[in-house]
Amino acid sequence: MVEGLVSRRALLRSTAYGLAGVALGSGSLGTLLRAVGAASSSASAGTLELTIRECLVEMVDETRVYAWAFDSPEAGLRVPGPVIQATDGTGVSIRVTNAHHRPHAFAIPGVVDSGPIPPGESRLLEFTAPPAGTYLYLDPLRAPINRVMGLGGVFVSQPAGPAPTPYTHPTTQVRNLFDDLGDSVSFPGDPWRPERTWIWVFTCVDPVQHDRLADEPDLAPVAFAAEYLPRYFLLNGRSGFFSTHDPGTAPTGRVGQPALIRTANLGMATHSPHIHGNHVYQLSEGGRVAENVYSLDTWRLPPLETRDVLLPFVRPPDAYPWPPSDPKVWTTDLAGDGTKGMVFPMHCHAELSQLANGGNYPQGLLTHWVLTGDLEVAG
Amino acid sequence: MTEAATAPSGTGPVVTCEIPTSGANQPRAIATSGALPVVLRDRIRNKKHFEAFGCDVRKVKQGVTPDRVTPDVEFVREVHSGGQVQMPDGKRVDFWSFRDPTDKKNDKPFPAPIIRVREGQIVHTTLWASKNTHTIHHHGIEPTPHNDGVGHTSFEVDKTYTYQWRASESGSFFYHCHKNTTLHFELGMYGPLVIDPPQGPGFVRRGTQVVPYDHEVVWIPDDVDPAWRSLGHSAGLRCGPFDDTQHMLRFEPRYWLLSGVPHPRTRTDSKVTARCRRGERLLIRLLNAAYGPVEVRLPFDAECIGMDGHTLGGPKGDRYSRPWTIPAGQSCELSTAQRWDLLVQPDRVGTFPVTMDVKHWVQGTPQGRIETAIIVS
Repeated sequence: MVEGLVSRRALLRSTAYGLAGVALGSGSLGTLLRAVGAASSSASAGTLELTIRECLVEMVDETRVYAWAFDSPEAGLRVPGPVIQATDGTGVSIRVTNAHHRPHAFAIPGVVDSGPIPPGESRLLEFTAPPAGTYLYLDPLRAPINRVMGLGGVFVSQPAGPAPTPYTHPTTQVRNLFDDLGDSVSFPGDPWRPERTWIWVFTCVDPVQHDRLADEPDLAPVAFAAEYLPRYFLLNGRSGFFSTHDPGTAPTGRVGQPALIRTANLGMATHSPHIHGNHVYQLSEGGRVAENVYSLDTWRLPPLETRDVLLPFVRPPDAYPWPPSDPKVWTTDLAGDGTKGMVFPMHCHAELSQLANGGNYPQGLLTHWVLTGDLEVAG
Repeated sequence: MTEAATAPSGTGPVVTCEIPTSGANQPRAIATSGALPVVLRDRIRNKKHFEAFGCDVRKVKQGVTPDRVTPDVEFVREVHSGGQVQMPDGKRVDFWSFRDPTDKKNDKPFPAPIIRVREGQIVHTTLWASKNTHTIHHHGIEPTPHNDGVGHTSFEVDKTYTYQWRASESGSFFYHCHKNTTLHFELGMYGPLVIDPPQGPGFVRRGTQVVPYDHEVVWIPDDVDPAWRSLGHSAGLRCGPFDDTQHMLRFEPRYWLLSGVPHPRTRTDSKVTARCRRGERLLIRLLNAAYGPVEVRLPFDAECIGMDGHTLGGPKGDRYSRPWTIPAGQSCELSTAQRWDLLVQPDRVGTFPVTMDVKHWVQGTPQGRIETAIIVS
């Protein structure tokens, strides 16, 4: 039991309120991205409906926390919100309805901002999708409260038409890197394929401050921020066992199947994601495509920033000998946790984030990536 | 009340404002008249898998290294829990770390002794876990999971295991225990790891060249919370019910260390001050071992030639990058576990201050300052 929780929280747990579940389907992010990419040229325009609601979100230890979330017919109620995808230069139409009793807003910083939407009202936002890349969307009101309470997500702009990189305006070095993927000398295997894209949204939860909003909706943002002590750290809304064993979060593939990972931080703390097994190439920083493409095992991810990284899926470069003599290495569940193959973690190295409720290591912010086989040699 | 369902995989369905989506794999909301809807977490479907990942990971006593060969170089690292550092207020703070059992003069070091090898060497690092279980993860080194030292993706070592890996590329790395890492890393179970180019110490890769340097310093800023020293080896881990002791909920560092030396001794202690002559080339290997970001200011222009153990503009997969310069006095920020290799060539004689501001891990506000110096004669 978390200390110091407010009265409304206790009420929410009691039989005074019925708790209704939300049934949510499952879907692989990679599959959906491919479907969208294949259909986008001939698709007709539609308006995305987003509704802001209050809800409870269950943490890894079954604690339920008060939250505000975007609801959509396609993705249901989600914290963080659904990934919204559009194509560079096309018209985008989003209707945001505020079904909460406080004013809210919707913004993609630098692209569009609804301004305050009073309770019970809607705003139709029509704008042109920005150059291809990774963007945040969020409720910018009473920052950081509304965003941290759950009103945020990732907006992806895709290049129009087939493109060798995920960008409208790639830098020379990003283009060079993507040109080399699949090259028999530099990166034997496949070139990057857009369906090999994963998205990692970093968030955190302080149940004390979050539940406080249920009773004190006028809580000053400065007080909220100053007293904020995150106890749960989530990747795509999951943590620990569940984020490591989620195929939509944990990239898998053979050697030679590079993956793009769009990382974004909607939380309160600077994260320091560290990946095992391969270094990644940092493709973007602060919303700009990188001119100097560093090869990193740890990247700095401050709040409200995004970083795109390319996980090359090369042979673990310091493994000896390679390949391992035991072919069962690709099918063995070494740790006994149900994952087969060569399993490597990605975890935040600001290690407080590896905990849940001040303990329960490693039920915090991490996932896995899995090599399922060596390079496939043609013929 | 319906509680059977869980959230969709990953970030869930991608929604697009251009293409109306429908059909299979779409979620379905249940009407929630008057009550708050609940976004449910996943249910635990296999308790054994869940516990093997978290509170009860696989352990080996005498682990067998797959494909074991005769190494070019080998190290033994034995866990110790008896280190102490006297802080500026006179208090002695406990550290756990690794020792080299062949070094009888230094049996309770903190940080752990350096592992230093050359490019191309096959390395054995043998862990003696002493009491309870531990691991060694060579951070930035990328071997198979058997040799990666992560309990929850392989196994914890109950007694001994030899990690086998090949030093493919020169650069600055480190090693640390990866069991209950939040606690064990904070308590000091880490040490530097350097891979030199084939020429050995005194040489470093700069782009496609190998260049000599005259002096070298390893700077590892760390933030230390003395209250965590009272915690047990497995504090916070519990099977069955979730752990609700909240032992590590608060991280409130009180001391600021550089490579094991507490500030303000760092200003003058020769273990950490950098010394060189005017015009000589000084290599600074910087590693952030604090849990907050660290903002570093140097008194001279510094050329960043390596990041996270990889050479900027280097000969292998690093040709999409190039060295870059941090102007004197300009701050640069490293998040936890990042490493930068900086070349400095002082053009003046004197004692020049270096500052490292350690920030709060959540609020990002400066919490503690570490000061040291570059002393140029």
